[in-house]
Amino acid sequence: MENTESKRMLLSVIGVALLVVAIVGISYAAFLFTFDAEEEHVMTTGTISMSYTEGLTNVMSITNAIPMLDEVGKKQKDYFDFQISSKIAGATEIEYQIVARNLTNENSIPALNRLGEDQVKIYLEKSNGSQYEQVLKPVIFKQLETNVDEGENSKVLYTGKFSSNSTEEKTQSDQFVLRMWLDKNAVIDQTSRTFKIRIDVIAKTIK
Amino acid sequence: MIEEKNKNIKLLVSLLLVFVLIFIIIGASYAAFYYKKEGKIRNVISTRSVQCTFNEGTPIYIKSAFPISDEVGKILMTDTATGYEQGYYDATISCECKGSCRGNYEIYLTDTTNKDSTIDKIDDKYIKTYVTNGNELEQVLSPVKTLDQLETATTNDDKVIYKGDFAGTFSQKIRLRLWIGEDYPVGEKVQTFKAKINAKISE
Repeated sequence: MENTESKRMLLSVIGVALLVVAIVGISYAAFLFTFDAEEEHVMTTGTISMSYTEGLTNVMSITNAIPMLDEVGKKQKDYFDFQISSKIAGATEIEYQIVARNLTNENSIPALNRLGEDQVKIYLEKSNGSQYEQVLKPVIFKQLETNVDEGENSKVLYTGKFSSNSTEEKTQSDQFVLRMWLDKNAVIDQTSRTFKIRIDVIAKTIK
Repeated sequence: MIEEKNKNIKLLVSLLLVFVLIFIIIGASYAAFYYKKEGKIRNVISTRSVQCTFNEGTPIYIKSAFPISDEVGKILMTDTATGYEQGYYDATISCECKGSCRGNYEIYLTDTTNKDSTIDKIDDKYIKTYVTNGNELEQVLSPVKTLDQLETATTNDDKVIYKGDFAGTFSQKIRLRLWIGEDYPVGEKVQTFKAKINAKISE
């Protein structure tokens, strides 16, 4: 009984001592600081879209062709016109290539009836807003530069650019007229022959 | 009877001890003899103090950005004509310690893009990050990494931009650059990335 009482007394004294220490407040505590930003960092992407519109007013389909001089070929009424357009938002530069892909060697045309690349002349004009100007002088198809990435049958007719230095969307268009004729030195005989091409447009950013 | 008497005595003793303790602290005393002399030695007890700050510069704002190479990204500056309204972000984290202090700090990025469900977000794998100390020579603190390559912070899913340890008063400046990697497929739709840069210092 006495032992219990002594213990209670001791506990009371310790308890009060602790209370006093707590009030005085001598203590050691680890710190933590956090900083939450108010403003955001923002990044948005630029955009590019392109379109290729074929046969704006005409598609070329020449039958019973005869050899002709360049001066005549450049003015013939049979032609193929097309438009290349871009919409760009942001600062960049796009390079496009107009490529003529020779389809003559397709199985649909018998070998006997195929016209050689060395017999056909090709000529390209580009609109400057009010009229069309020559951008590819009359040249034998076979002599055109090959687009190696697209294959041996793909010949480069023209390389152009669309560029933008603004974050606002900018629309640009280029219009072209393509003519094709039988070279004046082409040999014709009693066999009907065909030459067929397709115009492709390939574009990539260069800046 | 005797037991009760003993109890009372013990209680009295307890109370007396408590009062003595209180008086020791409060210091009320009565002395018949009075003597005063001021000592020359100053015995000091003081608590330490730690004050930390995180000073931020203008946040990055890049509009209509196209993919660029790392070589170009690492030296990005501000060019409002091409959409780089603010091409980099400077911040300084520092602590002033009186007394001992030792700990670590973390500067981390919190992606806030998805707060707006209408926004089409740029994939983390296309967002490049690069951190230097922002001085003239621009010493590299963290090399070029995509956002998904950054270490996860101790706070939720945030990403660590830079972290370090300290012992005593310190100050660390960082310069962060963000750009879109060359492998990003540019399309017709605008995509966006938004984030806040926060900091934590702990012992």
